[in-house]
Amino acid sequence: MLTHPSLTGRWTTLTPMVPRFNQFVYELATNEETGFRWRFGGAVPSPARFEEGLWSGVLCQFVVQGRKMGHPIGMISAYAQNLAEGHCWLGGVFSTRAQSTGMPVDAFATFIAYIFSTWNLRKIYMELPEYNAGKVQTSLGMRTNVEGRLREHFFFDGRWWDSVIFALDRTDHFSEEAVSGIRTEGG
Amino acid sequence: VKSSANEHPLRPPSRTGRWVRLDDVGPKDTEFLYRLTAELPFAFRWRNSGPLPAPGQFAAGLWSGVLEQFIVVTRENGHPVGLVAAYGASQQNRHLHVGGGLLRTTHGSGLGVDAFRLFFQHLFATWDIKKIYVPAPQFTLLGRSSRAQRIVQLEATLTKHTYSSGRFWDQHIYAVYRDQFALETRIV
Repeated sequence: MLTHPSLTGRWTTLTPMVPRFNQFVYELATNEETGFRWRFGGAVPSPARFEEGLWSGVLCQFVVQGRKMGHPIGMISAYAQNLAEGHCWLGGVFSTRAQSTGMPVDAFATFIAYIFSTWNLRKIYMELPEYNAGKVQTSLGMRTNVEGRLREHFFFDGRWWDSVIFALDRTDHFSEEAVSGIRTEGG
Repeated sequence: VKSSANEHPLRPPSRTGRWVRLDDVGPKDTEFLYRLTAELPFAFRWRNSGPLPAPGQFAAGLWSGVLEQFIVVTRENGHPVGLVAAYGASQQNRHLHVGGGLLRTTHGSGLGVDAFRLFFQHLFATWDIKKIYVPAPQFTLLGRSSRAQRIVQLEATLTKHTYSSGRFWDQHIYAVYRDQFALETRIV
């Protein structure tokens, strides 16, 4: 039986990024505590330039909303996809107040299931700063393979940090049954 | 204090090596680059991850995301044999990526080593970067020789990442650091 991939998790909902969210996303991208992780690396682009580049190289992306609160708490994005070879990259950024909750992980789990369910991808890569990598890997509760560590890859808060690349492999955890299981549990 | 032209601090880095020269890319090169990309699709996946685009579209995208690129020509007869390109530059984080390739007929001739050495030398001299990334499929020869291993550091292996010749291959991401490159090649 055909089941549509769910965009609703236990605590969060993934909502299409329509223009009414542009202001929220712009603030997220330029905020001093979250902006450095984005493609602009802490710089503040003009709103026009920001909107112009928002969908560049993106496979799909959503605004994350808390189910209880109903307001946006972050954004999640699959990008740099290579559908011929079956992989893409995954990224997300969340407001400071959401970061210490389980909501980002809930959103990632929903999104990962959605991606594997919707596209015939073999691998999803994530690139995380070293201070965050272990925490995210543990929180996701999924098998992840560390495939690289780019030494002193980015500069933030007065020092250089490594960037850790890890991969989620479809065959490890995302059989059709597993994807369905995540959807059921999330929904 | 007298100084010769060779010692002038603003003298641009040489783009002429032992076997090859790095020439500017112009409209005349589009046909060659199209042929090169068709011959070595895996070397240009950073630019064309899907099917090879139509020639007009290919030409329009030649500079997208590119910081600098040069045609590799032989000193012997000036024929184009390859391309070297720097892309994905992060000025904030002082790194960039290098890609490119040379025609299969040149493989094993030393032309590729000469071209990439010149290009790294040019990039380190021109831009204040500390690190150059070189993504390469596992079947390429990069990082095999003992000298190369002193210059390039393997920092990532994306398993079964790229498809070529009927199977998946790992994708290596090597890094070349300014200090190490200078030490090994005796240049600044």
